[in-house]
Amino acid sequence: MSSSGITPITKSVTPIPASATVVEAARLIEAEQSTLPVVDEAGRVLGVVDSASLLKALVPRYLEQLSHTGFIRQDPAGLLRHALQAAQQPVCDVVQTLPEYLQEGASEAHAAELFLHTGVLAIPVVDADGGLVGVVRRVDLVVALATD
Amino acid sequence: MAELLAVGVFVLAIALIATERLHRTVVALTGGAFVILIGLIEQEPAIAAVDWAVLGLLAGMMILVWGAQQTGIFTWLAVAVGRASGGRPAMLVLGLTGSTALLSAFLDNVTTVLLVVPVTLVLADTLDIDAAPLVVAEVIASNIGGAATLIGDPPNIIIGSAANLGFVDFLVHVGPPAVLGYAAAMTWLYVRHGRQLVPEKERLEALASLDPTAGLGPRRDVVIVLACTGLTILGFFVHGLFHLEPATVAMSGAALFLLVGRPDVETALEGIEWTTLFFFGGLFVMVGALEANGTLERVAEALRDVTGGNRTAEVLGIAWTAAIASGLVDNIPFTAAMVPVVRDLSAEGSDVTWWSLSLGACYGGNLTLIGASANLVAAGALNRANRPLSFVSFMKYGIPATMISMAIGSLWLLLLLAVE
Repeated sequence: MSSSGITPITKSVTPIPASATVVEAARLIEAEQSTLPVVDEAGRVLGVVDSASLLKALVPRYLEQLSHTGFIRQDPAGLLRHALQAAQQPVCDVVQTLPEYLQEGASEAHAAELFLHTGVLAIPVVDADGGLVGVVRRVDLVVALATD
Repeated sequence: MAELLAVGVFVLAIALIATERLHRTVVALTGGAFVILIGLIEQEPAIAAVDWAVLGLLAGMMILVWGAQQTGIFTWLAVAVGRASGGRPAMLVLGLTGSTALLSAFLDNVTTVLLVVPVTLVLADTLDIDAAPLVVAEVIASNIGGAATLIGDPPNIIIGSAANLGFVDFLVHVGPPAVLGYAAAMTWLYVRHGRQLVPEKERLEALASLDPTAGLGPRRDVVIVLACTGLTILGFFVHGLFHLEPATVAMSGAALFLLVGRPDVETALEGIEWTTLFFFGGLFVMVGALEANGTLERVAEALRDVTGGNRTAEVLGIAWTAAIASGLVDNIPFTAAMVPVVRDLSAEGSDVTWWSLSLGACYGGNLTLIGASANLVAAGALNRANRPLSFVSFMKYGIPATMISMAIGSLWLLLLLAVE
């Protein structure tokens, strides 16, 4: 493992404000970055949104309780309406909070453990005040671990 | 003093369970440990107070239900009746609530609701109708259907084990009022809320496109689990003849399924709701402490004083008290505490008092949103579908349904008293 920890693989990123809508987050994710840090007005990290958290918000939650949905052949009208409504809610309602964020210069081992336990594709890196410094992407950690 | 303490612990436990601040299993285990630690009940009587037959029956059925769930047959059933309704509100209510009532006569009510409600939400979204009346009707049907058999609702399992009443006894004595109560309550619900369930014509095509068989598991798995469950239910019908406990039948069925179906045994045993079993364990110890200190005997005496020994008053009094109590607090601890009382009150050679406890405790679950766990599960599911169901709006359905089913139940109890 690299002795400088996550510093070489920390990338700067433009966060999304908590008041942005789900559809705005979806467009940003599609165009720029698979995982977006969500920040409040003071720039503190609230969590992340990615396509998984947006999908969860867009479909009614009863879908998750079903394990055999092959019987649905045409999309239910109510489900589609739900998705359109859900697309207008602010991302702070659907933000995925992580048990902790990476501090600047954290070890690769710490980052690896957080990735394994959260399943997200990128984790925000924060300074001592909780302000956003950048993100570490899981794929960059994998490459760093495999090649260092 | 000891008696007061035992009552205090029990009442506090019921109150804590009702507030939902703590998980009911934690409350029961803490209460059970506490009454042993402070000497309200000795350790050996505490172990003896746990009704292992109840735990065995629950665990065995949980394994079988897990197996059936894996094959997707419950989803198949709900989708099939929904599709067959052709979107006609009466058929939709009859098909969905009928299969819910039937399933919950054999499965735990919470399990039934967890299986049927998500499919109902898909059907409601497909037809673009209000899901709430359908889901509430299902919960009510589930609470009434569960009352029909020995294995349908935990109060019946407790009563059956304590009073040595078998599967057929329950079917004959509480089955008929459950069928009538179901029919009457559903008719009322349909007359009152049916017009909320009329879909627009263009939605019917989407309903017809549903393919119930698409989610079914491999044929072999379906056949095996249906055969094991069928044999188990057959075993319930004849368990009395062979002097077998219902728990023995359920456990044998579960063992047969594990042996023949060959599921991964670790995963299959994860299908057991351990929280429920531990809840029962702690509860039995707390009730054991109440019994050891003579409280329940005194409750029975007091009841006898109030009714003056009049059997009709006793039977109806227990049924309606049980119904109201079950609407407000968990019906499982209530039934467990009432069992020794009813045993004291039961006239020689008569089981009618047991049936009154059973009817009241099961039907009362419909009274309020917190009357049964299944109600809360359904409210949670509606909430997730953006259709929140308040305490008061549940009661608009629940109180009339309880009154209707209890009125029929009371008439039935009078009939049982008349013919005994």
